[in-house]
Amino acid sequence: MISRHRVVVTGLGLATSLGLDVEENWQKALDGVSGIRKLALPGAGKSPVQAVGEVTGEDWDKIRNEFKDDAAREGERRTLFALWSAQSALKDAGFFNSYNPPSPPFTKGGDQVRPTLEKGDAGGFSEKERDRYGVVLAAGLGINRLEDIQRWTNKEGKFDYLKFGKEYKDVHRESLMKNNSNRPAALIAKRFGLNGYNSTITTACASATQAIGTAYRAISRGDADMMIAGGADSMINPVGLVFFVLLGAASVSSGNPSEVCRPFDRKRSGLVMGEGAGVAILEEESHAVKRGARIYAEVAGYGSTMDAYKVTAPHPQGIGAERSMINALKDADMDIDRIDYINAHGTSTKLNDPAETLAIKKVFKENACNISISSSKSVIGHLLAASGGPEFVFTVLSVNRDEIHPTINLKNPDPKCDLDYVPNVKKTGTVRAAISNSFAFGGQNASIVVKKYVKSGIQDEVKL
Amino acid sequence: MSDKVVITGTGIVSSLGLSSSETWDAMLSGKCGIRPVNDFDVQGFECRTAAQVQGLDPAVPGIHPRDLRIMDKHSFMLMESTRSAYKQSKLDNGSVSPDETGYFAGMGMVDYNIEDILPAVLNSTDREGNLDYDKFFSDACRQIHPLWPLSMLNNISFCRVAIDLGIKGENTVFSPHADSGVHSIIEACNIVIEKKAEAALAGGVSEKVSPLSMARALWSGILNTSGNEAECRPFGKGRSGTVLGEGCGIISIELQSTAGKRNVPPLAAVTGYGTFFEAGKESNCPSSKAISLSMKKAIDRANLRPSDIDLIIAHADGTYIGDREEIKAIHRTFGRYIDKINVFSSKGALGHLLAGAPAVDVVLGIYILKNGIIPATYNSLPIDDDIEFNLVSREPLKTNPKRILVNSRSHEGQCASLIIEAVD
Repeated sequence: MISRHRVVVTGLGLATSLGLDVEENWQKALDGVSGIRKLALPGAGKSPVQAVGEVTGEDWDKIRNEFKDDAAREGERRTLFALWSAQSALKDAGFFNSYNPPSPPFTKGGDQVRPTLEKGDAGGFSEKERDRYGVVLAAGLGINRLEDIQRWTNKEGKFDYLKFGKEYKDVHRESLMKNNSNRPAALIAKRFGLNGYNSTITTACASATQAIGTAYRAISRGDADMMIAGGADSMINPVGLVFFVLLGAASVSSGNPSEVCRPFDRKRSGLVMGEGAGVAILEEESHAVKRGARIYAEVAGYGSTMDAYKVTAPHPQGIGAERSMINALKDADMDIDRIDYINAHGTSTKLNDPAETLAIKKVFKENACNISISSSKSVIGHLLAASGGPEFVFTVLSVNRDEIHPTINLKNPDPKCDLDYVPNVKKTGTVRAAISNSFAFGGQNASIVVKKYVKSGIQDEVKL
Repeated sequence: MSDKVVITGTGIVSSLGLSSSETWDAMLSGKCGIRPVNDFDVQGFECRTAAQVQGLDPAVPGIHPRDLRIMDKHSFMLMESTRSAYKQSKLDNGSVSPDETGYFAGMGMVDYNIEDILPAVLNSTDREGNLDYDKFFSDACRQIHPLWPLSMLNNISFCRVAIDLGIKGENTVFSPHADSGVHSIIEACNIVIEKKAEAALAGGVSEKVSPLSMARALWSGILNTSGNEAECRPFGKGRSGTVLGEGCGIISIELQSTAGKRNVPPLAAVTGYGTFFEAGKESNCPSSKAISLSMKKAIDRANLRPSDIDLIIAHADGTYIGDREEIKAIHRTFGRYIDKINVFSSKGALGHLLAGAPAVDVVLGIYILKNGIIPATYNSLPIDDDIEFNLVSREPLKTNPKRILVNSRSHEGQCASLIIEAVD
């Protein structure tokens, strides 16, 4: 038998269309406030997609200001979302309580300037700690900028490879060519001085849940004591906006933006994009206890599967999704009657929602109707590669606070979606354990189980 | 006696051949896969060579023409290598259920083919030659094929292979540099140790060499910029950068007891791994400290001492700083045994396969264990003056190594090492 370490959640960080603060996000989600608004991106008035969950301009400025003295300012939007949420999560986990900046701010030309952060300075961790602290992040698609092609297209309408080869350095800083997918994870590790396990996962919409699951496993098997895990993504750019329209998966509804995303509703019309990041601090239990950290919940199990069915659609019977939940429960050594809440993948697409419902019914049998299910995508939209990040944060908060945010806009029951999706109004009641699901285009599925934390030693006596 | 994690199948596609044995034979006989790039106009770039895979018609791995919209060269390489490993380890005989078969891969960045987007750009351009987004959104975006988005998702080729072989177990895709290939092998090993799968395929695939991947590698500062003459000189004196390579390596991993039950001969055991993150001061290449600690952790985990290691298959990509840091790291880790350690790098012949590099090196390691001979490190002469270890450089070295350390690193600061050992 392999001995495993217990893994707990000690910090949370978010950047979404609902705000940059975890409490603010949570209260709004509970109140059913939608972060989906009319697209504000300049020049995109004719975009077929008009309802999106964008991080507000004000919040974006705040993030940029926070990292203005960091190398990351050169990066793209999601790099800064990742840094913001990682920093918030570390603060939330109490890592900076005893931290003193290495050198005081200095004055330059009348302005007070913070010194440029050197590698590892901001974390204030010891050499031994750094070695055991790491990062696993989800990464989405790079930005495909039309300008990169247009700029080197000649009068004959041909792309000038020769000229491009000479001038490639001039591509925009946000271009695919200047942004390695592992850069955000590297920048976080550099900024906070983390030398441990560092990897980047790219499995489309399953990425962040797989990143959290991978981090959980690294701690569980003893390869790390603390991991920053989650994801950041944004596809609110011209090519990104039409991306899911081309695939027929996005809603092109011109209705009231906050009502377009309606998971499990009969009138759902496709996914609605959000952007931002969601990150959690996972920690080996005794490590967290020793430093007196506040523990939100315990990560109890993780599982992933593949449909091996079609690259364009989920299995209609949700076979992969079913096994993914079963694997996670098995990993958690947990019976099906222990789960009180499921944070669903719930994309508001025609295909996902009934297949996921069917999968839940097959896993939980007669107990399925007693489980509360909600889709965070109804309030913040689909954060794509990052979606599992904020959804994990919300799942942890549900287990910690015994509150469940509603699935908003669920007004027209769909006979194929006939479980309790916590329609429109939040729910209060014990959440002993919960599952967060993420499923990807291509047929990759991932599920993670979170349960209430009970101190070591007395776990067996307490019947949850 | 505790169970071991063993490798029971291999698959390589590289510029030296479309199989593991072809690649090994060509490597051993001193061939090099680096040639001038001629499938797009490369003349503007400061690096005009690459080790490209030749002759991999999509029909080779049995890819249906309708899938060509969503699959590109990296997909063909992944399909062919995965199939080979799957077959060699007899996973195709039904002895392991699809649910119990895991799949992990490191994959490079996925770039668009400019021609796929060009018509939409042309139709979005106004009379003054500027982009008109109203035109793009209202009409021109429809010039992009509806399946094009899938071709851009990093996991789609991976899922397509899983569909083809019916693999349904634990899985993930890491990205984009060499360390991601090692991460996939680390996860696969742990998945079989923890019995969450009976067997798992793992490895990695490079990017297709394209104008975009060339631009990205140049931007990262890793490429040799001597135009038509660009070559990769691992640990060479006066080395000045790497050259991109195309290729893929996949291995089948399972417990020795599972392989025994299935009557599949183990080719080698994976006994240790280690990772470390720290970017150097002059470039984003990992520091010598990081490379050294990554190796040390792998050696510790395998319950070995540095003196037990017979061969290092170095990352050695021919970059000046990167190789300098790895030389220092090897010196630091192997200390007084330094003159006993043999070192080899495949990159002089295969170019830099990024995510594909480590699994290819593991497979070459298996051939080295089996044949008792280490190929010469192509193009490493004259070697760096600082080197104190035995870089196998002039000619292949007949020896009988039992334990091999494989190094990898990203160009953002990540590094990762593996240890493979001969199985009795």
